[in-house]
Amino acid sequence: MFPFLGYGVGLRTRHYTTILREWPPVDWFEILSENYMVAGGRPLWVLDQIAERYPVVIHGVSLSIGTTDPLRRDYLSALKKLAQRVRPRWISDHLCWTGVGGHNAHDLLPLPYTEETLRHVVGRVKEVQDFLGRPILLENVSSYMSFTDSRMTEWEFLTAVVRESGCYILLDINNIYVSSVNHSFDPLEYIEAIPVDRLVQFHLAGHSDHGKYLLDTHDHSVKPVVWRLYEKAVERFGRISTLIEWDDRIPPFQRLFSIAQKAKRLADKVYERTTAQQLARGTAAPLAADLGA
Amino acid sequence: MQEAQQLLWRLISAPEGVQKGIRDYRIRELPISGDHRLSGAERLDIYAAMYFFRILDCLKEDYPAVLKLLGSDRFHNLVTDYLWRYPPRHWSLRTVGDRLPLFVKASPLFRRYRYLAELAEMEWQLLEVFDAADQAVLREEDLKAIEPARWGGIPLALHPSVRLKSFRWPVDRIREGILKRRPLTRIGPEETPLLFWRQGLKVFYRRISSGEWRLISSLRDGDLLDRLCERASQKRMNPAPTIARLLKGWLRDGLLASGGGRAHRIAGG
Repeated sequence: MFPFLGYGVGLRTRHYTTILREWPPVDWFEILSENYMVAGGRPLWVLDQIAERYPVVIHGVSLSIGTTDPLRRDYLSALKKLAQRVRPRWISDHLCWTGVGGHNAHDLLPLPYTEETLRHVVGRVKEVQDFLGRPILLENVSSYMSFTDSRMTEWEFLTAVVRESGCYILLDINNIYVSSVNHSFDPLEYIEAIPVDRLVQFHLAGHSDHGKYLLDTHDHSVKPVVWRLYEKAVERFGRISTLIEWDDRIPPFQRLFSIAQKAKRLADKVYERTTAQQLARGTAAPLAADLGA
Repeated sequence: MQEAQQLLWRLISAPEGVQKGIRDYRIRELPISGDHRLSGAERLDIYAAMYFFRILDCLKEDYPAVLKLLGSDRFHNLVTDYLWRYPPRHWSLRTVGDRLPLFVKASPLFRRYRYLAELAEMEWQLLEVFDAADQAVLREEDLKAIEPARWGGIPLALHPSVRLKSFRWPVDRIREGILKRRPLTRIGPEETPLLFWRQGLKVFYRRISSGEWRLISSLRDGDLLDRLCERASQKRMNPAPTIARLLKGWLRDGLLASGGGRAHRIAGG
């Protein structure tokens, strides 16, 4: 259902010209859905060209799966229309809320991790999946606050949501690290708790250090500590479609592409090492996965 | 949960920050945990700052000349007031500044800069043109492929990005002056009809004559070339050279949409 796509980059307006001129050998692109949920226009035209040549994945920021407002049918209809046009390999958004009372903060706000929230989110994920006619992926957000009435950890909540709603996970390694520093937890514990069979995609991005907290700014390259965490994640999950995100002070396309290549080299190295260790222990599972079984 | 979300939204969007919002709304307890590094309010304030500065950055990109004219501080305050009056309701950041031209008219800044609202309108127009639907353009070669005797029956349609807008101030000169840091001297009201369009990823605009305005307006609903010539002659324009000159310019600039099937049917007989 979710093929391994390799190592991709986020499609950004700044790179349109380069991509249309050079058709770089990047494995796949992730698009920000809201940028293309429009009647027409140049960005859609560019997207059509790109979708003809590369695998494309749709990633949203405004589904607001956790808001107490009703689901926005106009938003879902526009998303479905875009999906029919682009034929993405999958659609993802965030485990968060972005506004209430009809307002949109354009922020990815965390949820209280309670049974009440779990019921609320699971019901809405099912509704969205029914409407779109396909399972979605939910991404863990970077967070700077937590609720006093939370009764479970974020990873417990995320796992419960995917188990009960039938959706899948987009795991942002940078977000895990940022949140682990901001809320003082062990990022490896987070990674170890994620169910292997529900994970579809990784995100890698940069962050900034603001002294008392880390901010998920997407305006830097991936930090060494996040690369180390990525290695640990590949050790646990194997080869997973990986995407480099960069949203502010965006560098030339070649720079992004080289970071995606770095992720590939790193993942290949870790994967081969892990596979060799597993084979030495007499476990043939990695081979079966490689052979597409 | 709904109550908590509404409370957090009120504080995140409070114009003078979370701490002041907590005092103004007399909130006794936040549903947010704090620790030795940051209190619950300080943590919430990170979101409030992201909310404001993300939109501020977006509006700086949308309204570069308004920003330059007012300077960072006044633009910052304008956006603060704007977001308080018109908090974002749409899922896309693209639309977040759509009411700024309207809002500016009611701002005290409008008394000092009487062209400010129109300058903002012009900058918004440029964005709309950038986002307008795409369509193949009619090229000079397409016309040349058609037998001249059949030209009169060619249906002409404007490219979807084409916009006509008339301003009461010379906003084109004002905007250019601001962006190029030229002093704005002798600026007064002046009827300024502008034509906007997009070619590739670039947006263009230029002033047009009243005659060209009327002819382009008539093309809005599709028109035959014969009918266009007829209209030009009614306006005492010398049809052949006028239309030929204008048509050449429109084709060069990509103002006309390819007629698609119909144009080709004419070409093929």
